[in-house]
Amino acid sequence: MSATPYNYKHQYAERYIFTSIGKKRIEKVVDFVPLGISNLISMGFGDLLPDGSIDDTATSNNGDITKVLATVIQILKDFLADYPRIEVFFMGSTYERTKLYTRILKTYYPIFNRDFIITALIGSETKNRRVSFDPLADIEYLGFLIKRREN
Amino acid sequence: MPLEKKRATKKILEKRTASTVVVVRKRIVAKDTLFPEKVAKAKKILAHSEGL
Repeated sequence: MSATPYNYKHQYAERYIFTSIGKKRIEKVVDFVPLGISNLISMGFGDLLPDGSIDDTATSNNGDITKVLATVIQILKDFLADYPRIEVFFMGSTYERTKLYTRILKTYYPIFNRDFIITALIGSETKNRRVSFDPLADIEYLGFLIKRREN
Repeated sequence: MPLEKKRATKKILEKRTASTVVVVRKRIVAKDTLFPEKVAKAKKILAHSEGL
């Protein structure tokens, strides 16, 4: 991605925080949580609200989406550099958001593909399977799995 | 032991303590997540997944 990422704080081994600066200042948090399935970690991303809770459904419209996404990608790279054998699973908090993530992955696939192996899940929540992520296919994905490419 | 020698020994020991390197192995620690619903959903989906 061409945008320069925001600086971020590595609060704990598995939590990163940064501030989106656009029309307003919004604290963002990226959280990595073990799923109890071998080497799989869930990545969560959302707005940190003043009361300490999280809103991962908000559409901020802060005018800096590419910068925010560049920061999340940088954080993901940082995390996977620390844990190269880990595979990160993420999905949207809503159907629309998962579609947005699909569009972003498709758009920036040539860049992501240099550093990451991207696979995805298709099917339903109760029956699904893993497939290679195809940037040209018109497929509805349930979620995505990202692993650092071994050079 | 003379007082000066005692002080010198104490200083040496302090120096050694200060330069001790503690290696902490990085680990992902399971803890309360900020995204409990998302984690629960991820677990459910991945539990019903083939090819993982």
